Amino acid sequence: MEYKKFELETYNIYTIKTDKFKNCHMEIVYYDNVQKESLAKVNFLTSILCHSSKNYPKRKDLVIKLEELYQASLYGVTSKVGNMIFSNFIYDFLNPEYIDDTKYLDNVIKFIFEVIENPNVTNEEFDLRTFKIIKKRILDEIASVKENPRSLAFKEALQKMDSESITAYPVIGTKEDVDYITPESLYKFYQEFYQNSMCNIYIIGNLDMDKMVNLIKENFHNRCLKNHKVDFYIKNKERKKALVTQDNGPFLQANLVVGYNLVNLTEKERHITLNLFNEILGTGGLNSKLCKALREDNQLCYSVSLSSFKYDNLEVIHVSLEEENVELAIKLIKKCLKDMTLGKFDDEEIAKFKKQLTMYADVILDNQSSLTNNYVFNSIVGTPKVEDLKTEINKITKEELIKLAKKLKLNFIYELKSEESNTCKKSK
Amino acid sequence: MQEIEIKGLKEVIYYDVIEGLPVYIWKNEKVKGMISSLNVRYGSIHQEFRVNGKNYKVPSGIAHFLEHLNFYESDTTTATGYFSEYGSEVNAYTTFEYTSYYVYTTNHYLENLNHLIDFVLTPHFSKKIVNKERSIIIEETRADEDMPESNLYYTHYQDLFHKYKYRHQITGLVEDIKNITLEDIELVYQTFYHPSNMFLVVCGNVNQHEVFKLVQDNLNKKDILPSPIVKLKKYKEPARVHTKYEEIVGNVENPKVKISLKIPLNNFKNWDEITLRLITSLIVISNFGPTSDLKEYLMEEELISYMSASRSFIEDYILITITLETKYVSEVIDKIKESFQNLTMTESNLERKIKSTIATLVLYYDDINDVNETILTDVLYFHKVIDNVKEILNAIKLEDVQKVIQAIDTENLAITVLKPKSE
Repeated sequence: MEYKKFELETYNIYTIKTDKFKNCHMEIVYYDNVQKESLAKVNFLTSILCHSSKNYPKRKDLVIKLEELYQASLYGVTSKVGNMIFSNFIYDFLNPEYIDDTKYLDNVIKFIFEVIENPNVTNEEFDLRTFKIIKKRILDEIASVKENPRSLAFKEALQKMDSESITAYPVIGTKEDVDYITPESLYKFYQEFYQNSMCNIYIIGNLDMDKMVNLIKENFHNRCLKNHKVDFYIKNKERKKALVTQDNGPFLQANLVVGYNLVNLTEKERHITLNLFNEILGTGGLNSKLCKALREDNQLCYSVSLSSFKYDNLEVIHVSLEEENVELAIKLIKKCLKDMTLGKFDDEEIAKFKKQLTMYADVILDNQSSLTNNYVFNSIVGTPKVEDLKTEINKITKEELIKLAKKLKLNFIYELKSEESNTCKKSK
Repeated sequence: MQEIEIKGLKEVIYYDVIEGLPVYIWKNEKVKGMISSLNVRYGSIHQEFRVNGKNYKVPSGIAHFLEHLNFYESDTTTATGYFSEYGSEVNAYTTFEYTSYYVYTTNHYLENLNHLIDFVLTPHFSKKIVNKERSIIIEETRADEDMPESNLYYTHYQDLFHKYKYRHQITGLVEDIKNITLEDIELVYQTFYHPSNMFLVVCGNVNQHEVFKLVQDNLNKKDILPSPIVKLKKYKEPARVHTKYEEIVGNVENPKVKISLKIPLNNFKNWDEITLRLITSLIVISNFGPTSDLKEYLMEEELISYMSASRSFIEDYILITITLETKYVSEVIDKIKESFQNLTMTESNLERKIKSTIATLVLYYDDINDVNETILTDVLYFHKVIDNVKEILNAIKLEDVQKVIQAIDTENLAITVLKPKSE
């Protein structure tokens, strides 16, 4: 695999040349500091741009064009990572060597930039019909959070933790935010956001990358110089005493969410040691401490999840279980964390989880999306490339893990209580 | 060993039958990983069967229960422990029709594969672990019952079928799970977990000779009893849907709808099933997919916020299913019914869909998981790898598609609507 960086005046192109895949993967990534008031707009914009364009005004037209490009695929993703907002245009297309068409690559590249740079806009307003379709979809998505026990419990827990925190703010925005957006205001924002945000392009495939860079230069007209600083991290408030709250929920099971602050992590702890720590504590499947304690030893649940928001300095544990087992689950979770601070894990365990992480790193090397994700954060934040990550993980010591465990401070315990009635009653 | 060439795609699958176990290997030296799946032709629908002249009926959910138990190597240890020594990922899942045990690794693939075969074919069951796993499975089932889509999914199958066991949840209901005994588990294991009722698929950076040798050595060491003669109960499923229209309520914000056409396979007596599968898939994507006039209309009129379409073959029937989220239930149902009655295909559309389907076939071979799944599906339904999909696709003519459309009875519909509690 050959990594290469092309520095252009207003954006950079990062390439990985490899013959591992028949597919070519490209991501056009815009990123900036999060502004709460514009989160909903970024998400709306990413969606509307991928839905249609001036030359392909209906969704159907755009999908037909993708089919003509041998089932190319294009979709947009908006994500909030710590203090960063990302608007990614993710584009996959077949390697030209499988296609008997010398103009294929030119057409593929022309198309993606046509979508981004030539939106379906008239008189400085997004096309009203398209706007309404996207708005409806987003509003329904916002409402649907209430249908999923885990999503609802997470949302409520983070809101209660600190409703002012960027961590608690939904990336798709709120109903009020979305209702406030107009076709005109969205177009105005389009001009601002893509002019002012940082931009990188990532490409993986068996391609002549110099040729790709030239093709991009011909088709992409990003002409705005940006050199402002992007802050990566959010420091969520700590608490001397954990905040304990609960709501009544509409589900059969109770949903418990427990949050911990990550306090004063070093960069090494955040991007290397934390990976191994999380495997031992909760992400390492049935062998992890949380799973052993809650599922294997006490049969309280089917699964327990640990989500690490390392850019938000937060670790969140979720479990769905019976109401009467909530207290015991809280005790067990606290005990698992305590055991980590006391070093109640041996070298053999550490070695196993190191192997598991090494395997996951190898899996990244077999997957274009994961490789790109690794490259995005390597190029923006400076996190290790997957090959280096493997080496660094194998150097982690037990003492480093204990030191990290002591930096987790309990912030909140939230319970979405169960409703003891059936969620689905037949009414023929 | 047989080399099966996947025509037009420059790919080869290696195949052999070892001690009754069919083994399929796809080799890719460019990737790091390997996935091996050991698949048992036993799923949640197989609840009634005859062995050595005796009829048996086992509780719903037993296939899934057995999948959980089969990981135990003693009362206190599971196969997961072995695989964690290599950092490998081992797991399993149960479907209506089969149970799949798989391991994913990037190192020591032979040891991993060897242990996969070992643990699946060397059971350890006891009352202690049955009771332990029972509690965990009940939690899994209740979590699933909290997902409104799951309620819609199973209710829809109940509306479609009178007899087929697709009506039952794969995990079984909590009451079913409570009734499963150690004896039930042992009976099912002894009846169905034989190499001749299984198949192994190995994909990734492997050497085919080493894999075949390992499987041979492994099975040679085992005292494999002859497979009993098993007759699965065949249900006579009436052609008409069980319930034409049903409304249920659940924890949803907007109504969700499933509409299925139940089409007897008998309508297509002269068709080869693989060709029929491909043609029906092309019809569904053209008429209900993102390039269809229907979907464009429903979106533009803001009648739906979500719509997907699928085609499945279930025993003697083909199902075409549309799943929707809409506030305008009756209006949208009418539009879907109208589209069913006016199924269509144009020459240009067909040509484009075939071209894009072939591109997808090429891209499957970028991912060892996708190849594993493709081989698994072929072998499960056809007992062989389908090596000429590209040729079949290229040979499909507009007249073929039109003939299939004409044979579809568009009246035999089941509609299930999941409404918000507040309505």
